Amino acid sequence: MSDAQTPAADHADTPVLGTGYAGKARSRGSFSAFIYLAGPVGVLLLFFAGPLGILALYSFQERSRTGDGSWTISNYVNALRPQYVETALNTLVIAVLSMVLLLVIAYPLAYLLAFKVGRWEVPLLLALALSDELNPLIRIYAWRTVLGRNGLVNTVLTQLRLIDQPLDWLIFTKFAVVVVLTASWLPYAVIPLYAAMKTIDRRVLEAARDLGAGWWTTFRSVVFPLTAAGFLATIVIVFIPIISDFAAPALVGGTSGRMLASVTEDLFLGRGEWGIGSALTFVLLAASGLVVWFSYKLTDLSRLATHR
Amino acid sequence: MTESPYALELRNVSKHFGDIVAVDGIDLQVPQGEFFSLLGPSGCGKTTTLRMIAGFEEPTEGTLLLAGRESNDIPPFRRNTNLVFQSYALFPHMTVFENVAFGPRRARISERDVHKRVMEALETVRMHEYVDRLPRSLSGGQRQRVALARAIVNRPAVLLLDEPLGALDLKLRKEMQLELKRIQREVGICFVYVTHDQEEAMTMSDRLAVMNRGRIEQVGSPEEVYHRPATRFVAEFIGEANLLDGTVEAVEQGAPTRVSVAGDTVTTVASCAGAPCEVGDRVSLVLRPEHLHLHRDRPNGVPAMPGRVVEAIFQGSLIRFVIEGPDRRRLSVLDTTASRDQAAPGDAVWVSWLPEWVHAVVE
Ligand SMILES: Nc1ncnc2c1ncn2[C@@H]1O[C@H](COP(=O)(O)OP(=O)(O)OP(=O)(O)O)[C@@H](O)[C@H]1O
Ligand SMILES: [Mg+2]
Repeated sequence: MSDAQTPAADHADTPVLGTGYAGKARSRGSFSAFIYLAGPVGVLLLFFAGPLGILALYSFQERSRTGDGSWTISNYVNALRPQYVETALNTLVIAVLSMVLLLVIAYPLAYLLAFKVGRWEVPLLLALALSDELNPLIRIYAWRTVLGRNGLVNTVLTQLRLIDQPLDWLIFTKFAVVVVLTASWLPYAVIPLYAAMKTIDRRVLEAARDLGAGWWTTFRSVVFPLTAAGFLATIVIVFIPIISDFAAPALVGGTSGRMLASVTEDLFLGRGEWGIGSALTFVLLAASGLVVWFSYKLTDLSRLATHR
Repeated sequence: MTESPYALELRNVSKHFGDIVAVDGIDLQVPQGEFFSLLGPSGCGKTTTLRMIAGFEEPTEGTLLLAGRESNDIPPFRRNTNLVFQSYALFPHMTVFENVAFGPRRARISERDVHKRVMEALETVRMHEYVDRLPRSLSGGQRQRVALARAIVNRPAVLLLDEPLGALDLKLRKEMQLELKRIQREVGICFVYVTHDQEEAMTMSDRLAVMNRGRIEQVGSPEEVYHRPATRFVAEFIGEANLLDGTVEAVEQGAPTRVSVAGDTVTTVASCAGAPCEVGDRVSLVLRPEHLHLHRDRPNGVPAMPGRVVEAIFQGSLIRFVIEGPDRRRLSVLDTTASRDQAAPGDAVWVSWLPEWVHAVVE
């Protein structure tokens, strides 16, 4: 009987990453860890850092259709031209608005999902995940039928005689881009927030109420601090794809809803201006980096300020 | 409004969860300053009752009064009650001090007074040296005391405790029982204490309610409930009981003056705390092991029943005998006067009791 159990017991004791080895075995452990890591690190270097490095080089070279590839900083100078600066500001405004709107919607939604919907919790989660399975392009076209000049919103409002003629700011504006981006990234914001909420013991919320806290105090001093890390993760997860989205601005943004990524795409694929395109890419990257850093600071501050 | 003598009153309160009847029409009155326990087996509705008092569940039927005021619709944060959760439910991101200060800070008092009250409460539970610790770095017993401090610091009219000692080892449990009792005396507020441990309820309570399947079977002092159980369930749940089935043959003022047991071989008088008895009623006689005596020969002047010793178990200060009676029913006897060599397994003996210790419950 004990014979039959030995292999299983041995297996259970084997540490996954060699942390339990001692002495000679340990050096073998770190060597094999190196082997394990070599694969993923290699792939990352090859397919991620590599192209980025090439782009970095391009951004300091003459890389237009007529360019000769000589070294220059004119791309970054050109990137400061008013039209690009305006697009960059546009991008920032749209991304921040979408982000704020997204958090304002996703946070309560995650809370409701985690604590209030009872047996609908799993079906609703599945529906949310499923909504993301839709092809993004099809989804954006669907929004065109909702927001368009003869779209759902305008038709209903006209039928109800709330407006005389179709609203013209519903589509091909910043508004449209913000709506579409918010809707598209909602599942990606709700799910990490929901996961963070789920780690809160329901009794802890009840304790706050029992001790005299209304919903706002409970939120401010218990729910938010306990989900701050998830909140930060959500900002990072969602802000970067939003600020670098090019499909939504291209399809529903028109001229006023232009964003850097769609301009960059045009520079690369339409106009062959690889140099400025690369420079703008790094401007975008720096902006994203800044936001991530800022969110870290924000959560740090919230952690200090919560308990009073 | 007139001041009510009761800190807490439940009038015909029920709670249904869909088809499940968790609490089924209970009535309770708990005076100011009393240590009151709700005792009952798992799933009998203790937590649900407590949560209705705290305001986390709304009664499906019935009325809840706090200090004489109807309170069904008052939300938890406006009630003058505090709940100590079974799982402590401390705020994991706050220090011990911040946890305890949470309640006082909701009341509009100065931070200096908050500090003073928090430190007082922490001293009461002897946790004042741990103010800066986070809950995760405390032991179970320490967390429990912080949870207690967090509740008593608000000086609620009613403190609700849901099996607060459930997670502790026996020694710490005993210590905390005494400590809780001390704190209750010190602060003088009404405690409603939920437990499924009858010994705990007996040692700590002024009065207790025994619950079963959403109903209250009996309310009384520990002595009353132990010596004069109202139902068979209470008799079996509280302490150890020998139950003998019998038939009432004569009554006087609701109490049986003659009950025949074990096929008419024995008759006895008995008291009765539940519904009054009538002639012909089937009853169970409750005989506590410590009220039974062993004899070699039939004793005179007291009710007695023949039997055979099955086992004699040495238990330190006393000896437990297991006796098989005439109807094959086994009786447990704790006789401090008998010694083990006096009655060995297989011996024929007589078991007697004093009539005043016999109590009947109607089936
Ligand atoms: N939210 C709920 N939904 C459905 N049924 C519930 C709910 N809460 C409690 N119940 C049911 O009500 C009954 C009483 O539950 P309760 O928690 O009050 O028991 P308890 O006496 O506290 O038990 P324990 O000693 O195990 O804690 C149980 O049958 C339980 O399954
Ligand atoms: Mg319970």
